[in-house]
Amino acid sequence: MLPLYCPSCKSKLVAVGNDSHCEKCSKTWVRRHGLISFVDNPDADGHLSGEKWEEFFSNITHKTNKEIQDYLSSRQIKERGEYFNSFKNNKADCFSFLNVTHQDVILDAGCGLGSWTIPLAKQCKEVYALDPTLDRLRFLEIRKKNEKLENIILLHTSLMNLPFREPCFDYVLMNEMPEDIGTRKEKADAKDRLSRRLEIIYKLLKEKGQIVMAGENKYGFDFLFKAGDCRHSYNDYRNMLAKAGFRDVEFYYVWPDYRDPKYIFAEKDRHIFKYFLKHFVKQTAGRFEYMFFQLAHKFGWEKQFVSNFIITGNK
Amino acid sequence: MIRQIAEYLHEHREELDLPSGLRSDFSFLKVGGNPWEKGRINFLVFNRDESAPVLFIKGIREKDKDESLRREYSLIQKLASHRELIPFLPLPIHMVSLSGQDVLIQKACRGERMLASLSKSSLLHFQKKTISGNFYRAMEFVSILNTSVQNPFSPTELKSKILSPFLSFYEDYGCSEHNKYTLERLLHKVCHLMGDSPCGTLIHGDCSATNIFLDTPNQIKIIDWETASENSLPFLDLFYFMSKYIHNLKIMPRNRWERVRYAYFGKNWFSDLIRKTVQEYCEQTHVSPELGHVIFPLHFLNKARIKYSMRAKEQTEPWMNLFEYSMNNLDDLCF
Repeated sequence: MLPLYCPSCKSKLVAVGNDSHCEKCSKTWVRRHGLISFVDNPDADGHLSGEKWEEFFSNITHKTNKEIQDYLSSRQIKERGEYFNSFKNNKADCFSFLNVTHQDVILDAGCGLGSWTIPLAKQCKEVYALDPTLDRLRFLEIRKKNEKLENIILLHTSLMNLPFREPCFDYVLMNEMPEDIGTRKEKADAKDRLSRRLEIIYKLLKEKGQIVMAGENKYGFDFLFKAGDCRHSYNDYRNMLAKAGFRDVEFYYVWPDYRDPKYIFAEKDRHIFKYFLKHFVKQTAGRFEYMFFQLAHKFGWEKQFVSNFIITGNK
Repeated sequence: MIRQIAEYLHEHREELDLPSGLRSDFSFLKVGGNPWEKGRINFLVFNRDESAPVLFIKGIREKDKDESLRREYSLIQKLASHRELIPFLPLPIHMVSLSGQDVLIQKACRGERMLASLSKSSLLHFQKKTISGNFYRAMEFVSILNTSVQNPFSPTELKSKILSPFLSFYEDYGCSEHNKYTLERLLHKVCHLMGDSPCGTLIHGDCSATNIFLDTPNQIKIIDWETASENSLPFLDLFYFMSKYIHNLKIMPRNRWERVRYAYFGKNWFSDLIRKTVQEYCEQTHVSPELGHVIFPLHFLNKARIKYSMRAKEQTEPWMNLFEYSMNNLDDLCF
């Protein structure tokens, strides 16, 4: 396990019982529900009240994955679909395109329910899974135990409050809305927030380390007619990654959604896009979407309108 | 994973009938697959700047030894030993182990999926010719498949290996005493009609327009043999093909499940087409239509069983409803 440092002064933390203590700041970081926590006032996941969360955890603790899934499918729990679907392994399929090895140490920044963490822990040396929402980490802890994955280290914190000091990761991952990772109360605008996070990630990566992020495109076809939460375009992502120092930035198109990726291919493989349109989009999407992308492809603009991306960049 | 596959393909170009080139000439499109547990992950492989894929690759996400790919490979090899089935198979096929991970490599099908020939129009009138043609082609394939490979059984084996699992699943899923009794009677009839020397039939298990490629105008290719079973019942593939096809159409009534029910239990153009297709199948396979009649509800139950095993409880229910309806209204069936 990597040494942990005080998120404030970056002094090495010492273990005091189960907790972590910073001698310089005279501050002790206490574990919450057995998890290393660097959050002073944790918010509950907004889906349920605190009482409901305790009921939820008392029903799924010491249960197998199958029992948890049965429990989730039989109860009317808010957002249960998200928890149920977090057991799907296809969410991490984009990593087939990369070269994760058993020597790699990975930081999953904003791990959520562990859709990337669990499959990746089976392929690499260690995954440091951090999330500012404690209830999500508690859920992931149960899954970690069920899968007997000792190489997942769960950290209750945010990307802006990290207990690491030096370049120590081969991959840093940002799943879900990148600009939401970190304290939600920050006032800086979305681009500034993402840029700041990219700078932090750049520093955390070892030489030749790689960032992997999943995001939506604000000009994506899906968001032309309905409101989305995305705030960045293809060009925004590319420019921000370049500004943070990343090289060889590559985009992968993910269809229909990066949360449930059925189809993935590289932006550079434009001949695949043509095939994909004819054999998949034409069958599954509306005629207008098909014609729209046909036209966009003709002019080389498809990258501007694809709705979901996986983006990689090298340090 | 892709890097290792590309390396392997590059080193075995000749064997795989691929043109010479660089390793980096290969590009990959991840398609579909099964998202649950060790689930399958599939890729189409393209050669440099070519607009059609050259290979179709299947792997398992997790490295644990999973026998399903090997089983599929052995089955396709077995089928390939029957000359009449060769034109329907995506051959050649290779099974390799890359860093301990099983990978199935097969030739990519050219042409379009049969699904693509389905019109998005709500008017049935202009689709009748295509639908009849597709039903006939599928029926022809299923007839050849069902008659090519058969495993002789004793009546006791038929009960224990093929019929009892239907009942066990139905009981586990939760059924009324009345429906359980009706299914028991139905299975008893199947047993009786199959006689003293029954045969286990090889079925594809997911014979839908999605898994059928129109390779050339006169030839179809069948992909995705993952759910194939060597010991099953005749008719199941044919019934499932027809049900799923009717379900996939965009025509009236809008409720797809109603449409399927109406096609089998109503008096309309589909009912006539189904009757003719079943008749033709019976002539080609020498199986009695009476047997088809009693097996019919089981294809819905079989689909419900597959859906349920894939954790799709909500998607199981409509298939289960169709099963129960058809089991209880068998006298009104169109053939």
